[in-house]
Amino acid sequence: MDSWVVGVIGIAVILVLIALRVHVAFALNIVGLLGYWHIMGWQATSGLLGLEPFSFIANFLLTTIPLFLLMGYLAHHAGLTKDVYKTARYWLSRIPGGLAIASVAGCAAFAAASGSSLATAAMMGKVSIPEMIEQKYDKGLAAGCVAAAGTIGSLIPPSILLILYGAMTETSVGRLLIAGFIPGILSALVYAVMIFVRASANKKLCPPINDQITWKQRLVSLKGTWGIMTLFVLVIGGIYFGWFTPTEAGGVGACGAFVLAVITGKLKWQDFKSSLGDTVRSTSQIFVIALGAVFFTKFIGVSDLPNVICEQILELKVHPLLIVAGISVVYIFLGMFLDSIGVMLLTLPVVFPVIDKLGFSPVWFGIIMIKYLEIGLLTPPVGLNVYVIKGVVGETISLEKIFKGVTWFVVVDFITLAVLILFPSISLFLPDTMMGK
Amino acid sequence: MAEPIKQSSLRSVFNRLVNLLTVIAAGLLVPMMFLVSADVVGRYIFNHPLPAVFEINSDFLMVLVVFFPMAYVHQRKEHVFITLFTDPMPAKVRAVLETVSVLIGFVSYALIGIYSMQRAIIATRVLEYTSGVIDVPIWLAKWIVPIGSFAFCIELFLDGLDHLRAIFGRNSSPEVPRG
Repeated sequence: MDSWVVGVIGIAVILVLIALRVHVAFALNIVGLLGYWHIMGWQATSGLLGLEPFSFIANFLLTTIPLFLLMGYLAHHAGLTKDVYKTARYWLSRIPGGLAIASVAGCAAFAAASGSSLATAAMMGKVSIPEMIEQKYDKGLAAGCVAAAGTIGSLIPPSILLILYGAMTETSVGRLLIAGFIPGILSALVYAVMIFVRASANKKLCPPINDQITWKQRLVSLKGTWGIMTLFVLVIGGIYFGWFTPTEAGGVGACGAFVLAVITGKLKWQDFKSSLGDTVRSTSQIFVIALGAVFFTKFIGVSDLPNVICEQILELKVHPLLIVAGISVVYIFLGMFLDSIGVMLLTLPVVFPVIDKLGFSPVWFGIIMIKYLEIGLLTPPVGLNVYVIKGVVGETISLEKIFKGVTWFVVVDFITLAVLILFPSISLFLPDTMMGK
Repeated sequence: MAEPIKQSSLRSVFNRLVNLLTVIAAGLLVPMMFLVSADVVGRYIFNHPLPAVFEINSDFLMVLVVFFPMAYVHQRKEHVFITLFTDPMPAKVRAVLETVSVLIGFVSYALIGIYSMQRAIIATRVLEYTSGVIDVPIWLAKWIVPIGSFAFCIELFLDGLDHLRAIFGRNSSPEVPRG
């Protein structure tokens, strides 16, 4: 049997195992190991087992993942989620759909302190959804806008997914993180415009609010953003201007959030402990999958499958963008059933060599991939951001209603995705002007 | 009747170990966070970076933060799995599938544990160090992977026993598999 056939069988077996409720990590692990053993023999496989778990994890670059997670949790406990939402609310509440737009703006701002979509959605959801419900906003829209805007957390730096992508494909993490910034802002703007248009067309969706907020109050509310601005300048500025490496930015960001939380007096001992606990749990959860993916990637590497696929695709002689469109379909489909890290790590060993051979920028594709994965977080039946929001709102809003609420966001996400695919410079402009490389 | 009691006391001793490993990992995030910043500050202000931050953070702290909480995360059912297709199945079939998952995990991590322990033993025999301004005892760090992996294996084994009990429906056991 050709080894590429073994690769194809391996992928099929993984998908079956995952469908049968085998842990994603274990499915990747066992198939990776068995496949590698079949092709390379036991000697090489035992070497892999002894060396790879340590050498893959003991990587300075990967330390950014727990540190950025910690930064997000600490920033939340420092009250930054509330602060940014309050400011956005003061400025935006009078326009149609103002509170929903403020939630999107709040998520985009808080994304500068948070590297995860799920965490961004969960933290902002607690603050903004109850208020929208109180103001008689449509429940689907109230919950849906936060579920969708949470995904901006993975685009605006820091981003756990982009760091993992960089580590697995040996792409510059600094460039990737900076590249996510404008697409993140663009996604937020597109969401905001969509909410505005829908709210203007249908007054029942977002009843107008009779807030009497003066300009003085609005200006004073800007003081509430100093915390997030500090972290923004520290982390994104630090990476962009090359004050420190992206890896160091994790430690500096976490420290910055810690200091903020302490000097504002908002960090209780209990909060600190739960931030640390949440961070190690999320880290372990991510890396159990990543370690499985390492074995799987080694297996796919030796199976020659990426080369075979590349040759087939290049023989098709179609426009490269058509291939990217084809890949989109695969991602959107997988995203319906799998979590984002699983989809990324399962597909990268096959997809990345193809993208590389076609001459696309790996940084640009990183951003496109994040967008695919984020759409996957919103689509039923397995849309994790929707489940997270369901966890936040409890019985007040049904799961179906939230999925319905995110539909419009997914529709406009496709527009954003198309724009990002057609105009790579939107993603590549900032990293090309970076000072620290 | 003695069996369930023995089982639960083994569980409680092991749970304490799992908690301890997780608390160690969580606590070590604090030096992880401060060391990097101290290094950056040292470099900019005193023109003198801290020695060995790179090795301590990546070889020790990172490996520990990943491997030590694995068992705890499994206890809380937080490792990712998809129940979409199995939800409509009868409880017994689900229990069988869960046992299969746990068994696959057990085999994977037993292999990782055994072979990385071999590496740790070799590294300990030669007292492997990284050389730098401060020599860091890497041999010590190599033990983190087998310790975390074996703890994970024991957790998976105990979880598997719970599932088997559910499959064979021994009503004497009050324990129901979580999740």
